[in-house]
Amino acid sequence: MHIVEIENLKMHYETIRGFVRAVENVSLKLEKGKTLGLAGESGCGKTSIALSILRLLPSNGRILDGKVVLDGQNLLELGDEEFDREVRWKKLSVIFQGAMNALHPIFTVGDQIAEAITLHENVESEEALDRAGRLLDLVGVKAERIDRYPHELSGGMKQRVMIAMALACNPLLVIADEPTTALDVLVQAQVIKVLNGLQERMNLSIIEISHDLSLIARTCNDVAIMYAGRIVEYGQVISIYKNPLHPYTQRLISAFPSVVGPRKELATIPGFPPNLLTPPPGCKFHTRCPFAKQICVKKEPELTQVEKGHHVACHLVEV
Amino acid sequence: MPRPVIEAHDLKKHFKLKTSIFQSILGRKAVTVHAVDGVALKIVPKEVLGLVGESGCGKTTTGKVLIRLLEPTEGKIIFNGTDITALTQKEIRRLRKEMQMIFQDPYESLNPRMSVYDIIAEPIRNLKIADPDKVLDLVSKSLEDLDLVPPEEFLLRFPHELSGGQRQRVAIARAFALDPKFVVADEPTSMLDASTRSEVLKLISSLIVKAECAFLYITHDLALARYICDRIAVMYLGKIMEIGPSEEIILKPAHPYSRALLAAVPVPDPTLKTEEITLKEVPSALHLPSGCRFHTRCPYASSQICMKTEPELTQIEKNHYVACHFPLK
Repeated sequence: MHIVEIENLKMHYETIRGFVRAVENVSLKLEKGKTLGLAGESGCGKTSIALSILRLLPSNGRILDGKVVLDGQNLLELGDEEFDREVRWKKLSVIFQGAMNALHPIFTVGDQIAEAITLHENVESEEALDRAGRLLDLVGVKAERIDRYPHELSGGMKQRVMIAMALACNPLLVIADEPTTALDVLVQAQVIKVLNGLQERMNLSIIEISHDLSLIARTCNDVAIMYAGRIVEYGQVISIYKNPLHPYTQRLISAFPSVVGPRKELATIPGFPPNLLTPPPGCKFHTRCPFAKQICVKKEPELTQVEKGHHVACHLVEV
Repeated sequence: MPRPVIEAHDLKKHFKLKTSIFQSILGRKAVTVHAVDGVALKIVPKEVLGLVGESGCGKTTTGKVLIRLLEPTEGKIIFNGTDITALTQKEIRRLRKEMQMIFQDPYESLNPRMSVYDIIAEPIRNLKIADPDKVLDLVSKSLEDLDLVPPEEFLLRFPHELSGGQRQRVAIARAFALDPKFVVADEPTSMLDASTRSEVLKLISSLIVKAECAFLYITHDLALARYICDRIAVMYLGKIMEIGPSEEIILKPAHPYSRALLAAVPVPDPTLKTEEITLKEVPSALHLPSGCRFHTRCPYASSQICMKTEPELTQIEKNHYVACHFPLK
C-alpha cells in the first residue's frame, strides 16, 4: 500500500520574463514506513515538489496539473481551510533546513511544540506540554530542557527540537528538507540516528530532500534523481548506486568523495544546468552529456522501467 | 625538505568574555575561551594541509591568527623565515599580498555593488601589484585561470548575475591574482553543488602548484579533505590531536577522535555500513577537561593517566603524530 502517490505533477513559477518550468510531469510513490530521497543540484526542482505537497508555494507558484494523493485523499482538490484543518501537522509535517531560523527566539521550545499540539488537537495546555516533554525525550533532547529557549541549545539539539515538533501530531508523512545541511558530521550522524530510530518505532514515511548523495545512500530506501525539473532516474537506492544508468546520475555519484576504499578521481560535470525559462528541446541534459546523439536533441526521453524498481529516462539505455 | 612557508609554534588564541559591571561588583572573574590552545604546524610550498574538526574546535580561528587577521595571545608565527608575530598592522599590510584568505560564503565575501573586474582589481591596485595599464590583463588572466572564459563576458557582471559556483571562483581568482605564498581557505566549497565542487577543487589544486604556495584547507568534511590535502590535522577544542599524511589519517586513524569523526562521514555507497561510534556532547570550551581534553567523550579512556596528564603529540610513524596515551593500532 502506498502512503503517498504523486502523479504527473507540473508546477511553474510565473515571472515577468515568463514561466519557469520548475517541475515537469513528476510521478513518485512511497510505501508506508519507507524513506524516499529527492536528490539533485540546486534549482533542479526538488524543493518545489516539497512546497507543492505542503502548499507552501510562493504566490507566483502555479500547480498546473497532477495529483498528490496522501492516504487516499487528493491534496490538490482540498480547499486551503480544509487542508489546514485536516492535513497540515496531523497527516503531513515538515522539518526545515535551518533550525536556528525556524524556531521562534522568544518562546521556550516546550511552548513552541505545545502550541502546535493545542492548535490542531482539542487538548488542554497541560496535556500538550506533557506531550511536548515526552517528544523531547523521544528525540534525545531530554524533557528537562522543556523550558529552555532556542539560544540555549546547540545546533544539533535545535534540529532535534524541530523533529520533535514535526512529530507532535503523529503525522503519516514527514518531509525533511536538507535536515542536516547546516550541521557538522558528528551532529549530522546523531540527528540521522534519531530520525531513523523514530521512523522504525512510529512506522513513519519520510521524503528526504538533499543534494548529498552520500547521505541519501545512508538513509533512504528509494531515490529519485532530478535534473531541470524532471526525474531522470528513479528506483531503489541499492540498484541505482550499484548500477547507475543515466549519464547524469553516473557522474553525480562519482562526484562524491569517500573515506572508504581506494582514492578515486572525482568526476566533474562541465557546464551549467539549463535556464528553466527557456529549457532546451529534447533531453534536458543533452547540453552537458558527452554521449548525446541526434535523437537526444529532438525528443524528450520518457521515464522507463529497466528492471523491477529501477526507472531511467535516457535514449541511450537499452531496455 | 624545502623551507616551510608558514610555521606556528605553540600558537594560542584566548578570547576573554566580557563581564558586566554588575558581575564584576559581585567579584566574578572574566571567563576565557581557549579557542586555540597550543597549535604547532608547518606548511611547505605546494603543500595542502587540511585542518578538520567539529564546529567550534578552533579551526577557523587558527587560520585567521596565522595570517594575523586576529592577534595571537601567545606563540610564534614564522612566515618565510621571518617572525611576524610582533609586526605592526602597517608592516603586516605589506605582507598582505603574500597571505590571502578565501571565505566560505561567496554570497557574503563579494561586494554586491562592485563588478567582477573591480572586485579582483581592487587589491591589485591597493597593494600596487601591477602598473595601472597592466591591471586589466592581470584580472582577465586570473579569470581564465578559473575557467571563467571568455573573461570579457564576466568582467562587467555583478555578483548577483553569477551562480554560486561562479561567485566562489571570482573569490578564488581575487586571492590568487596577487600571487600569494600562503592561502587560507575556510570551507571554500561547502556552499557549492557536488558537480561544481569537484571542478573548483581541481582548479584550486592546479593554482596551488602554479603559484607554489602553501595552502591551509579548513573543513569539517574528511572525505573532501582526503581529495585535496597532502596532510590532514585533526583538531579538537583548540589542539591538534593527530596530524599526518592524508591517506594514513583516513585509512589508519590512530586517535580515537579521528576514528569517531571518520565513522560519522556518510559514504556514497548504500552497501557499505561504516562502524557506529556514539560520542557524548562536546564539553564547553570555557571549562576544558583536565588531562586529555578528549577523555570525557573517549570510548577508550579508562586509566587515571587520561584524566590527569595531557598527552603530547608523539611520532608514531614517519610524519604521523598523535596526541594520545593509547593510540589505536
